Amino acid sequence: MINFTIYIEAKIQDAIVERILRTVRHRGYQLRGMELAVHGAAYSMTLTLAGTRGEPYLVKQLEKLVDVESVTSQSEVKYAKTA
Amino acid sequence: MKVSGARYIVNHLAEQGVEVVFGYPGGAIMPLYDALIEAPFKHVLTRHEQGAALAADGYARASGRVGVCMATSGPGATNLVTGIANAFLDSIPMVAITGQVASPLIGTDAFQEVDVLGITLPVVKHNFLVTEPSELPRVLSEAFRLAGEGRPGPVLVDIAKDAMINEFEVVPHHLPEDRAEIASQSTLERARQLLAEAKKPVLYCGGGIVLSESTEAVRRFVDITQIPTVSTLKALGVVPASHPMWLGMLGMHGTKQANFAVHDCDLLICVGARFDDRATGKLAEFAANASIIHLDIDPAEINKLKQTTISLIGDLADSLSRLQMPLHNIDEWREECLENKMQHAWRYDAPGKGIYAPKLLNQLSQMCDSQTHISCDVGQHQMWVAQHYRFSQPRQHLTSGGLGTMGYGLPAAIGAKYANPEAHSIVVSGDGSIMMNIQELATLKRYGIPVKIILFDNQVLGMVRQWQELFFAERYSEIDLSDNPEFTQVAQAFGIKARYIDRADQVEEALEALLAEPEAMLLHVKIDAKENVWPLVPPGKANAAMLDGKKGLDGEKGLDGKNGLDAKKGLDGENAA
Repeated sequence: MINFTIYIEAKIQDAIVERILRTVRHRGYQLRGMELAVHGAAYSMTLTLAGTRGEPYLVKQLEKLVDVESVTSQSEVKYAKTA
Repeated sequence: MKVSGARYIVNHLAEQGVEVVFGYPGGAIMPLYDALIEAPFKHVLTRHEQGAALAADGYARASGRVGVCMATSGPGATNLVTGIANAFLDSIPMVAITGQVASPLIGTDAFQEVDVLGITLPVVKHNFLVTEPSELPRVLSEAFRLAGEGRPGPVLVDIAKDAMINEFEVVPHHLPEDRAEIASQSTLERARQLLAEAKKPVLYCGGGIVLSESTEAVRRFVDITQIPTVSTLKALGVVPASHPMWLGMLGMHGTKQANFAVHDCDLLICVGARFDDRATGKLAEFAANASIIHLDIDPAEINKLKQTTISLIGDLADSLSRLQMPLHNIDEWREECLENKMQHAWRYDAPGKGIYAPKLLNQLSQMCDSQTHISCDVGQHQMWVAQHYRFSQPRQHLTSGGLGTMGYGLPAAIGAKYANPEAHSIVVSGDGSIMMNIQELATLKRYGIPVKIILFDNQVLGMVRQWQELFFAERYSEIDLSDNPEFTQVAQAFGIKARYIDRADQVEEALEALLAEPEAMLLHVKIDAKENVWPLVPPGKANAAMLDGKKGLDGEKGLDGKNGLDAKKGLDGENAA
């Protein structure tokens, strides 16, 4: 099991929090902690997670969500959203 | 100028170039159906919402355009879900519009209210809930863009009834320009070096090639490199079956030559495919000794299941055109692959008077032109089509690859006929699958759609029976369909012509008559219930360990512990009916 923390910036749009949490669950990760704040028109989320598939796999799936603007890892690696 | 939300939706669909929508009316979507009366495009009333979604899917696959379906709230919307999921699993561009109860009633458990946005979250590329008509220009523009751009997929727009009724001042929404992504030159140079050094390369073609209209680029690549090529179920027709370098479909029911080539290769170039479990078999042994170059538009597919050596994210045609080069050092490998191809060529010399489905399908492909659409349901007949119909063009073959939706074939064929009215649209189905959406025979009759149906009837759920025979110690559970209705009478009750055949000597004339028939027609074909699909890669096994119905390959024992799974029946016709 790999533990890691990611930071997500997302537009405040229909069901965006559900989309993110659903992706986390379906892709096989356990949610160990969550913080959510509103900054203007965006959500800032901090997710503490555990999973056997590792961080990049989940990050790529989260980046596919239309209203997700960026996903950043705890190690300050900024994942460029490409799609 | 003010218009109602419903009027705006119709206008917007027309501006998007929509030619046809497939749907079914009901309470919450009635304002839109009222506006549809003046629509400049066609509406096809299917007899079940699932039929509407699958017809939109078939239209999209056959045409390359976005398919559109619509339904009312509650059960109308939930009936669409299988069709939406089908499009999602195969990355098919679709916009599904659902009516929703009026916005003040949302969240009150109103009549025919369900949380469609929530229900469809896992099976859409994106979805929207519209409660204000002024949101429609942005939402519909984004829905069509999202459905078709990048890796395509279904987008659902759930629209509250009052948002359809209320008027608003239209402010057009302008989307930013799309920016095509291309692979970096430095990565491409590394890929070229790998290709130049390869001694045993294989090209692995996936459905992304069809979706991105990259077929011509792939064909050029194959012609220039003369690289042995295999295909997934969804990419059949990208490289014509007649091409000397084409080895066939890989995977669970792939050809031996295709699976051997991938197993033995030292470089696998995966183009628009996703290492699906039905294609790879035991993943750890799939191209285990090969470097992998993976070309895809979706970064999430890279390293998802198989670690790649080099990934080229971006436009497939661009990447392929920059990667291609003549390969001078692979003559020996080509010869090995082509020798395997010759050695393992299909045989159609089935003895007996009964009808051998693979042979019938091969005959059919020889009688049809390259524009003909063949849509399938799911099961043994689907695999026989993939194996024995020799596709020569992309978008000919319409099949539910990812979701495996029984009942896909007939509605998809209806969609294909609207996409390409001049072409034959032929359904190949089984007696299990056809019953899943048989109500769409009424759609054929209502609109005079000349879809042709070849119904293989073995009075059993054939693929389940095959697996129970091979992997569940012949413990047959709930597969018997011997009480099927008389299908020719069913078709005739819908006003569709029908004919029954059960002898091999009837096949050629029956197919000729079917293709010559100007109206819709069902050809009911009796086949042997014990016929199996071969080759077969047992679950959890490597593709190279495929079985052929007579004995395991390379001396491997069959699962029954004897020499082979099934000494009674073979693909090459032994004991065929």
